[in-house]
Amino acid sequence: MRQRYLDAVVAGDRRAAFAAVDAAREAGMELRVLYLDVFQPVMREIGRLWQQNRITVADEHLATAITQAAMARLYDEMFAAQGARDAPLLVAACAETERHELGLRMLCDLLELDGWDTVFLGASVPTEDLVRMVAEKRPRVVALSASLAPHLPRVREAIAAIRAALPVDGPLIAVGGRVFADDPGLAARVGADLTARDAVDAAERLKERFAA
Amino acid sequence: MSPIVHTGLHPALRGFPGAVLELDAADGTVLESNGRLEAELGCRVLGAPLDRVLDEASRRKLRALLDRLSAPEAGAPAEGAWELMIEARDQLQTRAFFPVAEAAGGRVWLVEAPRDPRLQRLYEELASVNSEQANTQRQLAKEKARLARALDELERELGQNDRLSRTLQAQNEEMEAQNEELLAMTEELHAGQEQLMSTNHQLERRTRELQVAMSARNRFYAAMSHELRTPINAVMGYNDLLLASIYGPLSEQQELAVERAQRAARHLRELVNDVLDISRLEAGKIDLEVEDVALRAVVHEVLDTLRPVAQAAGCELRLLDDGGPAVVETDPRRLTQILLNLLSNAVKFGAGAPVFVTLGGSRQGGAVVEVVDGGPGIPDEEQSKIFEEFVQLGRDDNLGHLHGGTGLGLAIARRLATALGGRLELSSTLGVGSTFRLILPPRPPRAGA
Repeated sequence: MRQRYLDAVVAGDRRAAFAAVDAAREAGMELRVLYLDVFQPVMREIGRLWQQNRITVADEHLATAITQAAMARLYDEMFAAQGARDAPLLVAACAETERHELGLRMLCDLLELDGWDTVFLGASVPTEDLVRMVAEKRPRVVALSASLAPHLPRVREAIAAIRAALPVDGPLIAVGGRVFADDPGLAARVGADLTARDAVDAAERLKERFAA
Repeated sequence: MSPIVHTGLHPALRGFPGAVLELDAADGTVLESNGRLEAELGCRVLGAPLDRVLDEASRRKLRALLDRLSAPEAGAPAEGAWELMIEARDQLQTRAFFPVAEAAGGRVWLVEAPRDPRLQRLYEELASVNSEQANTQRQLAKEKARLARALDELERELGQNDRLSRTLQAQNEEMEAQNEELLAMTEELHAGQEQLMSTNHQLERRTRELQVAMSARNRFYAAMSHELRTPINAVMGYNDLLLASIYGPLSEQQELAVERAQRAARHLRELVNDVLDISRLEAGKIDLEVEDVALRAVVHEVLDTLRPVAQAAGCELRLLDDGGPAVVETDPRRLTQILLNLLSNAVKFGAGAPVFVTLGGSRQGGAVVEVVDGGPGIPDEEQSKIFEEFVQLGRDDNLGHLHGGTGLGLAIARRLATALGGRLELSSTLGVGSTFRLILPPRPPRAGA
């Protein structure tokens, strides 16, 4: 299944990719398994293929777009299953416009599958809007992602603003993205509570942290 | 660090629109540059490893490229363009380089493929649009799910409400029905109450009217009796004086006339006495003097009293003793009055047939005295009237009488029987005779009070 999907996205064949997902679903593959065993490893594989110069950035863009669309096709089903009233809430935002926000979205979806409530704000959310929203919704977790070192000051600023707005009982703040994956000590230096290697790792850590 | 040796770039590459870099194949240090990359990044790249401006993945990719170029036999040839991500200011730029290796090794040239920077922007824009779209889709799906849940909940609530309201409605209807029933009952009660009240009122009014009428009548009777008795006594007194020849001897005719007058006066006095009695009885003002009375002695006394009258009427008086109590607690004077009335009636109306007095006992331990005559009997329809006042059978028209008496005797006798706690009954058969039965209790109801 994973190979079939990988081949489809590498070939840039959206229909084939969707068909692969549909077949897996029909065969009884759970959404979570689809994320853990297909989407995440395939996107990692895509990165590897680029490093091997087997595919180009354009191919990677296409694969990302196809995977985003494939995930979007599952949203109806994913959200229909949810609805716990006291589910922990996570607010997610990207520090900058970047195609790698897919990872953050995966984190949100995986947590949704575990009964969490998530709000994905996407890229380029002004810090003050983010803080206002966090103060209003009082999430348990705020997840921020950044891929480049130049965006770190913004991440640090956002974290400081959230802490200042909610000095007591504030949210746990998690950071992720390539720049943090490259330097494990960086998360603590920007003031975050938690970081992870990838979406699956982050979801596991958060679930562990909030296992009621 | 190995010494930097500047060999210089081919002049043709100096004006090349893309970046051209000469690298140390061993460590990727930039040995030569046509200045394009520096110009775009705004920083020096010459003399330092190219890694400095690459992201982590691109560093690994560059190392792989250099490895392959220095040992082409080890892997696939490094054909075509190699993309590297250059960290430029606050964004990553994709640059495609064509690698060219020196045959002897040691140096590598990277010649950037001519590119349209707009293509990069297009990629970025497309990716951004795509992401935004995906986000929107995600939010919509989430909102849709939330709405669906809310709708479900609403429907469930509505269903519950519906059930609840149906139950409530049923209860309501039941309550309303009960209410209506209650209301109807209340109305009925009310009507009944009103009727009762009106009946009460009527009764009260009638009672009052009756009381007024009775007391008026009684006062009338009492006054009349008193006013009448005085002149009657006077008449009788003068008659006696006349008959006693106090005013001189009377002729036979005169004597006869005075005797008639005297008889009439006596009857009148009897009548007035009876009227007085009955008015007292009706007014409830009769005073009973209750004592232990030897019944047989009283009966004998009455029989003795009436025997002359009976003899005059040619009838026999007989006593039949069937037992019964020897003594009853009662008023002897009233008992005598009743028995005298009954026996004198029996003699008067008995048509000369023997009159029997029987003595017996009642189940309650009282006494039963029957006076049985052999007279013509009283028709059924008359029997209820006979105890009424001023009724004498066979002479309902006037006071000119055959038998004498006032027509109040039986009325008085029955009232006296009632006052003594007993009753007076009549049974009669036409052509055979009549039986008056006096039933007396062992003691009058309020004897002890």
